[in-house]
Amino acid sequence: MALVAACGGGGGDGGGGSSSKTVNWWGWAPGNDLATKYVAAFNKEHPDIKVVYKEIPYADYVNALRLGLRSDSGPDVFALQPGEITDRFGPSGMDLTARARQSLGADWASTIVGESHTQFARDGKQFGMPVQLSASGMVWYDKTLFDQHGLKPPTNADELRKVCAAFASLSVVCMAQGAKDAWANIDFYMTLAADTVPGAFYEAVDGKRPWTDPGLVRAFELWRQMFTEGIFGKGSAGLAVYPDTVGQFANGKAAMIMLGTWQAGFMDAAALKLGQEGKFVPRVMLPVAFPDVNGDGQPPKTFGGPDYGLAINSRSDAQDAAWTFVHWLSSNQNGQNLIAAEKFVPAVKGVPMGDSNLVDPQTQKPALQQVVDFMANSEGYREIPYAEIKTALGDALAAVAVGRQTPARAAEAVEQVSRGLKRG
Amino acid sequence: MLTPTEVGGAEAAAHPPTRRGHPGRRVRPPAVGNYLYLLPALVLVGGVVYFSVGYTFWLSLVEWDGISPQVEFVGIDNFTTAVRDPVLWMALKHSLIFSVAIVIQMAIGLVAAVLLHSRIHGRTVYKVIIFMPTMLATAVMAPVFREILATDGPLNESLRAVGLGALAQSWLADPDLALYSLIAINVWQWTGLSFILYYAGLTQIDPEIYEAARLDGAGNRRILLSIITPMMRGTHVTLLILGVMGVLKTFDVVFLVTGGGPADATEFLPTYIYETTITRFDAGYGAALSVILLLISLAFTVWQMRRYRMGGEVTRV
Repeated sequence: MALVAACGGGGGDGGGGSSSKTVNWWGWAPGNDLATKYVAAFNKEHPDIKVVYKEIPYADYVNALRLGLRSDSGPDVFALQPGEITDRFGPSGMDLTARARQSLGADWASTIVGESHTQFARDGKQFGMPVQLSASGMVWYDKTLFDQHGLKPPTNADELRKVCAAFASLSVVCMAQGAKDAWANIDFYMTLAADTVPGAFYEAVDGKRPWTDPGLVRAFELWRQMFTEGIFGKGSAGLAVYPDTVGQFANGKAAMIMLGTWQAGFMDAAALKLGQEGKFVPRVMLPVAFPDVNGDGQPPKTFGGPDYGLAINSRSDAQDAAWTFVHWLSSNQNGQNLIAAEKFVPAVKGVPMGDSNLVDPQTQKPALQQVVDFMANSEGYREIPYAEIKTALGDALAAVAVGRQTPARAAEAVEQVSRGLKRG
Repeated sequence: MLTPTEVGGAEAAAHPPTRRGHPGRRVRPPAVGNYLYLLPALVLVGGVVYFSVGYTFWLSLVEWDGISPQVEFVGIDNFTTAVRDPVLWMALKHSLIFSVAIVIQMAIGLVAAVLLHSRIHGRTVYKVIIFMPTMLATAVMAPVFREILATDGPLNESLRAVGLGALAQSWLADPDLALYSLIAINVWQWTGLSFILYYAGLTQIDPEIYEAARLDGAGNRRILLSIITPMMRGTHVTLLILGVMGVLKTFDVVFLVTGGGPADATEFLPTYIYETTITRFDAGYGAALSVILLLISLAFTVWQMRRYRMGGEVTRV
């Protein structure tokens, strides 16, 4: 009923309807638990606005949003991800430029880390405000497990093989990979490509370099080796990141996992406890650079941008209340402090990462700065802006993973799609 | 303008002239007003079913992402792309292989029905056990099977525990096995339906036929193969039709257990349509695939109608 009350009278004019004080917020992130926390904190400052959060799993989000935004019972506020989702759904949102200028001042954009807001802008319109940032291309490792077996996180290909052989003999998965998820595979491939031939990946996406470039083919070969050389666990191709491999890692069944800064919650005792089965084991998880697999002495650079942002439905009749909430969570000091307290990298400059509730504060406090550095030093976006290339790459990586395509053939398949693509 | 006779058409239809003692009068066609009774059904069927089919056909001729107002007419391009699309052919091949499950679940269902039709102890419990999976929502059992069939899951653990570790496999991650794992899940889930229909069919067979067969010296196997199996022909056909339609529509179990992977190894036409339309933002091509699915279903329906004549043995169980 609240859903209808909030959006029923919008009329689709985008003209700033503002009668309702009920804001319906849809997103795959931040999840029910965190959303409840955020809304409770928001309501301490804005008790007159009711925010109703609806968590939609990422896999279902596009479909739900597609239908929601075309109906009168859709969201007032919805999560956006850079790339394809912003391309497709951004235009269903309000242009927030004037509101941002009014609430935050003419130089509002300068307060945002790394100009990440630009990833939610299209044709000069600001469709979303970044809430938190994330970088991928780094590794989380279980220090408790490594220490227990006298091992150190690998820094190059040889060390990676040795560490994985050691864990294999202990029946522990060396690196958990949810290879059922195309996004996780693409993240991994981008990391390998960033190591073999830095920058080439983005040139290939833009059609300025063929996917059959030797460096990019080499990245496909390395990807295949992860499966054939036992770096990934057996059966990885059938596992999803959430909940399968994250569960493996949280429960000490995997020693490493290549996920980004958004997983800093691994260091939070309460979050870790939620992910564990049975009695809580205070595992000390730490971030570390991805091993230098091409042997040039340099680990690959991370890549990233906004983790998610919030947009306001142009059909909403709660636009004022919606903006109050979006502004509070994305740009207000209190909202951003809350984001940082949950160990996500805030979108606004000068907000320190929260260091409460760490499993091992002595070891993990410095690691929080490492997380911030991985974000600050990232190069390039994470979300491929063309759905066709994203799909073709996901398919190619899946085929290589199970040995149904050779690395060279996979690169050719992506190149074929890339060549036929009309780029804007 | 309606004549008085036509206005009374409903009554006339309810009392045919021959019964009112006017054998020589011509039978009048039903009045126009009578057709209004058909309107709700026509609106429902026309508006929901045929409009949707027509709209899908229109969509199959355009390039559209399913969201933006930009729609480009591309004629039959989506269909020519489909013909060259290896994933489409792979999906159809998977449907064909998956049809094996129909025969397996029919065979198990028939044997179970025959066994439980006899007087064995605790047969009610067995009936419940066999039929229960059919009642379970796929969304409930899919995560359980994902867990059971995981590489480090209970199935492989059990195999290792009894010294059969060599048989442990990546049931869902190996592209050569994933489809067969889905077939096994499908057999587990739908054997109960075969069982219940065969069981109902067995109650229709006159016990004297069995007695006569026994007097003629027939054993259990002979009775099963030469009496029960042929007499269950209607049930076989019903199950076959339900099974084939089910295979063509297979979506939930695939979507929830393997997601069509690994590397399209368990892709079916409905999951491919969903992926194309939703994930890949290609509503036009997705519609073309839907039209192809519709044509296949239609061809099968026409074939089975011709083969078995509707309303005859097909529906008898």
